Parts: sequence; structure tokens; C-alpha cells
Amino acid sequence: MSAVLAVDDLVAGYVADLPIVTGVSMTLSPGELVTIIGPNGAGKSTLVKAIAGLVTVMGGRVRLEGNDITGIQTHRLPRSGVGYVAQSSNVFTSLTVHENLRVASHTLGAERAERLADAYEMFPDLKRYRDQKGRVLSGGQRQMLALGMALVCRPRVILLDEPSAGLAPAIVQDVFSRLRALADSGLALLMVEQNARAALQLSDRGYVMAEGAAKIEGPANDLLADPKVAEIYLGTRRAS
Amino acid sequence: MGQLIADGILTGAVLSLGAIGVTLTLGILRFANFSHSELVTWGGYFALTFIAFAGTSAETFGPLSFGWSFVGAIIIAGIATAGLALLVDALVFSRLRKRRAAEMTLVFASFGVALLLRHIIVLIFGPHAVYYTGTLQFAVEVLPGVRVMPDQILVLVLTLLFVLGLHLTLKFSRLGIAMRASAESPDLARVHGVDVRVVIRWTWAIGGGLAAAAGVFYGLTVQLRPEIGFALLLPLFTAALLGGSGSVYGAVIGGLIIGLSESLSVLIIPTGYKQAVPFLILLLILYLRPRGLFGDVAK
Repeated sequence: MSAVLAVDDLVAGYVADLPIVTGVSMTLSPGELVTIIGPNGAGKSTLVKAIAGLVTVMGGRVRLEGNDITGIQTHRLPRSGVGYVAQSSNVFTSLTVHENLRVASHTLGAERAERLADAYEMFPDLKRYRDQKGRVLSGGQRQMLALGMALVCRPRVILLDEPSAGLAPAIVQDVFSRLRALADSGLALLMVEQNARAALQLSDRGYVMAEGAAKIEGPANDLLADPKVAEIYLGTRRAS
Repeated sequence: MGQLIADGILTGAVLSLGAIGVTLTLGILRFANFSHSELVTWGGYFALTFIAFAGTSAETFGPLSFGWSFVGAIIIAGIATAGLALLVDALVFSRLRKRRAAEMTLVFASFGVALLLRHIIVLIFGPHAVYYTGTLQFAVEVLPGVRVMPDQILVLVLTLLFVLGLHLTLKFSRLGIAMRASAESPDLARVHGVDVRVVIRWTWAIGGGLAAAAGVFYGLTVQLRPEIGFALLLPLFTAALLGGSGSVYGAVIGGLIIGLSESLSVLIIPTGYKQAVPFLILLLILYLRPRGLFGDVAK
């Protein structure tokens, strides 16, 4: 299957001459859930931020369905077909749930009402909290709202920066199974996760990043079974 | 007493319009813009210029001191001042933002802009006080012992309409929601397709337009002087901080409180010290409730 998102030798960082991502190549196909794992400071978050235009790209290319979107202006993401869910602070706490969804539908025209109705249908919880401020939502509800916001513009790719951060284990499973279902419906999802084992178990493929580069790549099951990966990045030592 | 309250509310209305601009810049652009009160002065003088060219209408509206040309003057002043605010942003503040300048750099730049704007007014119009019309107005007794000019009543009504209009815009319109979203998190707003640069331009235009209204109302009910902006600087900031930075309703309430307390202060202190009242209130806010009455807890 041809890649919907192709990252080619990407170099990116916050300060000139001090790249944090030092040449990463990866691909993402429709219907795929791909997880990037790796130790702290490996550049995982910086990578997805660079794809989203939130961090300066210093080299390499990002292509979406063949179109060059390298260093895209972030506000053009939704129209180009990319949704981005930030790690924390991914909903507006001072706005109501409905206002959050309205911001997410900022670029839409006449189809807005229909898309918002779709979002409420997909996440019935949000409908109950429609007029509540973002700050009163629980961690899980916030993540559902963030996901709903990313979906309003019907993206083909969703980038997620640690969707499980700060969530209770039961909620994490809930979020992950939602992501799996979205991938099964044909969406392409690229997520960065600290919760490596749980994330890989649901993923199709994975990349292991270290020191700003993708060191190991393969089907998620292979990575889970790889003793080297397990020892270093999954935090478990195998009994020898 | 009743007269003092009426005067205080009137001063407060003008302060509110100015303070809204200050609070919007604080909330969305995240810096204290010390040149905002100069936009008030410019608004007043833009209207004066328009009247000078268009002439004062011979016919006035009922008991009011002006006619159609003044309506044109308010609209033109609003548009021109919004334009001036956008020009200053393009020439000064947006360049600093692009360089990711520190907040204090922007604050100091705004001091420079304020000086420049003030002295251009002096250069063009001279240092003397001027009036829109020579028409003498007679105050009407609205309540026993409370006399107000018909112009002052109009100023109050228009202020109320502007505040209401802004409230509805922020609450329900696409732009208003994008403005509130950008105030909380510019990056998150961008991710969802909001072009924050456009939001910033609207913020300047709205702030500038309301400042112009404040300037015209001040000129109409008091007089026009090049130092209006300087005189209003402290009261405007006190009103904005009292209300809580970023809160429009806070700025309005803050403006009214400052106006009323300035006016009522003459009951206990000599008139000459009236201008010190906002300063005293500012000290109290910073000491007791730095986030203001309606400030966001999260910020």
C-alpha cells in the first residue's frame, strides 16, 4: 500500500545548528497504527511537532499523499488533512466543550453543523458535557474531546503525542482501543508513546528512536519480541 | 452625591472602552501595551480632523450638540484608529514578535511608540485644548439634584451598545471564539486551523476602534488635549488589571469602579489628589488580588 505520509531524512530542532531530530525517515500507510517509542530526550515529540510545523525543520522532507508539506504553517494542517493531538493541554480549558469543537471546525464552512453532530455521536460523553468548561473534564474525557477535535476536519492522518500521558490504566486501554478502531476504519495514525508495551500491542508497526534518529523499525510484534528492544526501551529484563 | 455618581459613571464609561483594548492586548498578545492610551488621543483628533473638513452640520439632533457630520466623524475615527493600531503593529510589534522578543522588550517598545504618537499630535495640532463644537449645551435634570448633558447620556448609551456588541462577538462568533482560543493557547489554536496572525490583527482593530470611541467621547464631554492618552494611561491599566487581564467584562467593571472612585474621592480628599486614586487602587489590587476580579485562575 502506498504511504499517505512519508518522512524523508528529517532534521529539526528549536535552536539553529542544534538539531534534536537528526535525520529520521519513516512512512505511514492508510489503516496503519504506528507507534514511535524510545527513551526520554530521543526526539520523538520533536519529530511529530516538526511534521506539524510546530518546530523548525532544518533539513529533509515531509510528504502527504505526494504533496510536499515540509515546514507547513501549522494553521494549514487541518485543511491539508492532518490532525494533531498534543501531549497535554490539548483542549481549551477556558472554553466549553462545544466551543472547543467550534474552534476545531474553524476552517469548515456549511458542513460544520453536520461534522459537530458526528463528533457528538462518536463521543456521547461530550454531548453530556456540551456546555461545561474544558477545565472540569476528567483526563479521559479531555482525551476524547481532543480526539474528537482532531477528527472534526476528517483528516487522513492523525499525529498523537503521548495520548496516554497522565491517564489511569483503564482509561488508557479505552483510548488505545479507540485509536485501533480508527486505524481499522482506514485512518493512518502515528503516535509517540512512553507506554511502549501497551501501545505496541495494539500497533501494526513501530519505530524505536534514540538520539534523534530512528534506530530500529519493524512490525510491532517483532519489536515486542526483540530482546534488545525489550531490555532497553520496554523496561523489562528477560530472565536468561 | 448623586451628581458625583453620575459623573463617575460617565468617566467610567470612557475608561471602560479604553481598558477593553488594554485587556485584549494583555490577554491575546500577552504584553502591557503602554501606547494603547495614545490611540484614545488619536481617535479624538481623527474625529476633529474629519469635522474640520466636513464642517459641523448646521442642524443638530434634538438636544444634542452635534449633527450628522459627527456621526461620520465617529465612524471615520474608529476606522482610522484601527488602521493606526495595525500600522504600529506592522512596523513595530509584529517585527519584535517574529524575533521572539521577550515580553519586556515589547513593553519598552510600547513606551517609545507612546512618546512618538503623543508628540506627533502636538506637532500637528499644537498643545492647546480644543473642542468639537462651540455649541453651548444645557444640562437636564434627570433625577433630583443630578444634572447631565444630553451628549453624556448618548455617550453612555453608545458605550453600552459597544460593550454589548463586543460581548456577543466574543461569545458567539467564529472570530470571537478563535480570539478566546488564541488567548489561552496560540499553538493549540493554530493546530486547529486558526491563523493567529489574523486574530491578532482583529484584536488591534477592535482595540483601536474602541479606543477611538473613548477619545471621541472624552473630547465630546470634556475637551481634546494631546495629553489625554498620558492622563488616561494609569486609569486604563488599573481598570484592566482590576478586572483581570483578558476579561472584557472585567475591564468594563474596572473602568466603572475607577471612574466612580475618582469622582467620589473628592468627598474625602482635596480635588487635586483625584488623579492619585487609580494609583492607590492599583497598589491595592497588586497586593490583595493580583489576578484581578475576573482573572482566569489558570493564568
